[in-house]
Amino acid sequence: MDEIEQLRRVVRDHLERDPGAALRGGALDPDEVRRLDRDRWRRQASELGLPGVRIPEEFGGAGMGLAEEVAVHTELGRALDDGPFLTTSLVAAALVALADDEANHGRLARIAAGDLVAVPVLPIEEKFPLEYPHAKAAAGGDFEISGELPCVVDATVADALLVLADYQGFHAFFWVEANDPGVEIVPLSTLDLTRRMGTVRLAGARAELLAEQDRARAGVAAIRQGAILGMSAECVGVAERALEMAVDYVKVRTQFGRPIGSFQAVKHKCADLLVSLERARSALSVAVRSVQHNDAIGRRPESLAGLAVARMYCGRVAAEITRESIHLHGGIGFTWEHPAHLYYRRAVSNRQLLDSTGQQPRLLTASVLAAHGEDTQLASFYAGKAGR
Amino acid sequence: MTTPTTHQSVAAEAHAFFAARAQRRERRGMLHGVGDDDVVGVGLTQPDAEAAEVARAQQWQRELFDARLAWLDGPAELGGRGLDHDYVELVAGIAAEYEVPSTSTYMVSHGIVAPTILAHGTDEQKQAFLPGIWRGDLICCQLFSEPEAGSDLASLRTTAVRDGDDWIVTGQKVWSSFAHVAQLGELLVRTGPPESRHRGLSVFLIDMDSPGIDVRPLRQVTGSEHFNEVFLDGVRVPDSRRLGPVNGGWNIAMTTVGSERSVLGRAHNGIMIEPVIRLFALARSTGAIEDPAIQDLLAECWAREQVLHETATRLRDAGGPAPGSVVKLMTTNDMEYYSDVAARLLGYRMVADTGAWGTYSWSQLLLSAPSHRIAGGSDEIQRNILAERVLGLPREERPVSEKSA
Repeated sequence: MDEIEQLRRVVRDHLERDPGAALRGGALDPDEVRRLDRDRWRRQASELGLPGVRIPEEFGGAGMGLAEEVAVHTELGRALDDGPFLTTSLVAAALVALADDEANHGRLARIAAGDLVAVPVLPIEEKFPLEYPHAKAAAGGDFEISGELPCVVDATVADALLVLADYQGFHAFFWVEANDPGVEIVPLSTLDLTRRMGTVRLAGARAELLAEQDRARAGVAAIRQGAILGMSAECVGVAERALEMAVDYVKVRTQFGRPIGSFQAVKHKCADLLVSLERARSALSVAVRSVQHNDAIGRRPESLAGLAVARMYCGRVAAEITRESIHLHGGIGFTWEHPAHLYYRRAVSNRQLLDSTGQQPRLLTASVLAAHGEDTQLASFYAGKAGR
Repeated sequence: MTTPTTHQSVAAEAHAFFAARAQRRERRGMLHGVGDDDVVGVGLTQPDAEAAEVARAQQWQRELFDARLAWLDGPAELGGRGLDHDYVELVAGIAAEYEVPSTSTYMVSHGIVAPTILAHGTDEQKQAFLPGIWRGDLICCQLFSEPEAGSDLASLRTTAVRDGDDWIVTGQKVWSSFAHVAQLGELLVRTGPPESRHRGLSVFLIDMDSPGIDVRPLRQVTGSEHFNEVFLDGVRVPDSRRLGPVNGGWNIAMTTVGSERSVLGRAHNGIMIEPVIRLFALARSTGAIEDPAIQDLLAECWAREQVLHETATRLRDAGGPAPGSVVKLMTTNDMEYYSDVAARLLGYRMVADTGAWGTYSWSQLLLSAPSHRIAGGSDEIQRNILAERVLGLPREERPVSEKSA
């Protein structure tokens, strides 16, 4: 077993011993998921080192690499974990890239210890909306931010927000404490019952400037990349588990005097789902390798093309497999008590977030053209969309 | 003094070898309209041009072998180079940059029969055949399917009966690609009782010029004739040509079909020639690339190609069961997808040859794609294999006639 596979086993064993709301058995209570079980999050920190997987060791993290982090996301997806790893890991990655000072080191250490839940607040879409939070200088060297952003994952349980705001016409990142009187977070009903979202309303919230312009743009890219890989990996884990559950079920469910999994109509469907799962696994590893290889040498179009493969496939495949898993379970799969719908909900939700505007395929084409040095309108069109 | 072998050194060797013998392909990147516009590499040669193509391939293969670039991952004592598989992909990628002769004549020889001999042959058999196969002297074919034994291969009826140090083979094989140009056949026959199914099969390496063998080419959908019926009437084969144990042929046949499936997942396998980048180039040449709907289709093509190659590599390295079945199902589906996208881009130019470069040539992919869903185990057989061997689903109940066996 290679190291990544070992890491996955360790995480899986821990999550089986200490499951989240989805897999504790019985019907899921959505109200229970809206709250964050902080003790459990701290156990994930102290026993697994989860929130600090990629935080450098000098700041209390495990200092692991991208492949390890992706493996953790895969296992968390498999377990439909409702902890805030997706969001805190993105903030941690951004903080490492954005600023190297005492205050940040302290934040990283608290994130690694499971004591600080911080959430990135930036638009999901590739193309920025005309209106997103904007900042202005305030008295005392601080800043004030106003604006609103919907569908911010984990916003309802955050201690702090890493907000991307428009400052004097450029991107800038700000740190905002969630208990600031200028911050209002409105919980949203979510399709994915194991993922919290909220609308963040900022009305003159006090903010600390962390980075602006080029550095902020690099932070946007880092967060987006992390979110794409994280959600794509979750999709792979979700799809793996949903297919396993379906296959286990059709082996034991008997009709017409034999297991339904012996009928070709059923087994061929399962085989097709396996092929789809392998596509999703490959799409994820294409994206990871593409980022590892191309980012290091500054080949951004190639890197984006690799990421786009994961964005196109992982969500689509997870939605397909989880939907068919409900079908293969028959009526029992459509009951509230059975977890099949929770996997379906996570898969569809991630698919939507991974390509919210349906633009990914054509952006991929543009990236391929740009990577081949084809100086077309598309390539420049894309360059205009990729950053601001 | 010898310098160590590295990717760089082998790449340099390969470039030197190809550059000395072939034109560099001008069509790099997305250039449309330059060079050969064939999209499909295998099995499309028309009969009148075939002898010359085989002769060219044999000459080329011999030079490759002598330069030690033919069998990079083969054992040194058999004429290989003892390098990792990634060197094979490296040199195949470099070869694709030059206008080199097609070696698709050897697809069955190198991709399917040679790996089987390497896995199951005796030392004498490996020495006797593998250097010759890789030097190009021996073209191989597979003699597996029969008119009454297709997907149900274990029901085959061609028999081999022991006669002293020989076996006498009688029966009929079909769909044997390259049998009409082959010197060596990998023959799967019944050596057990008629009802012994997969437990009564053996494999022989048979000389295709043996008395009693009659090869009759079959014309395919594409108009070419690269597969055949093979009649065997009292053909004598020495026992020394038996590959593996008597009645132990099923396992060997499975190695063979497993290799056959995996060939499909390799880049530069000669089955399709850079289909995706050509679709991009085609779309640019017509201006269709500006259409967002076309951009979506091209993205899907590009993603599929990346995913296929990643899957083939990943599953080969993982060493799990039936990697070839996953790869084959993906490939056959991708081929149909690419030909559909080509049709969308070409419109009427897919159905009549206007003479325009790189247009009607796509019809060959459209026509040959269905064959890959049948050859090497149909899509349905691949799904059974995945369901039973990877997912562990129960086998379907056997018909009564088989239960008695």
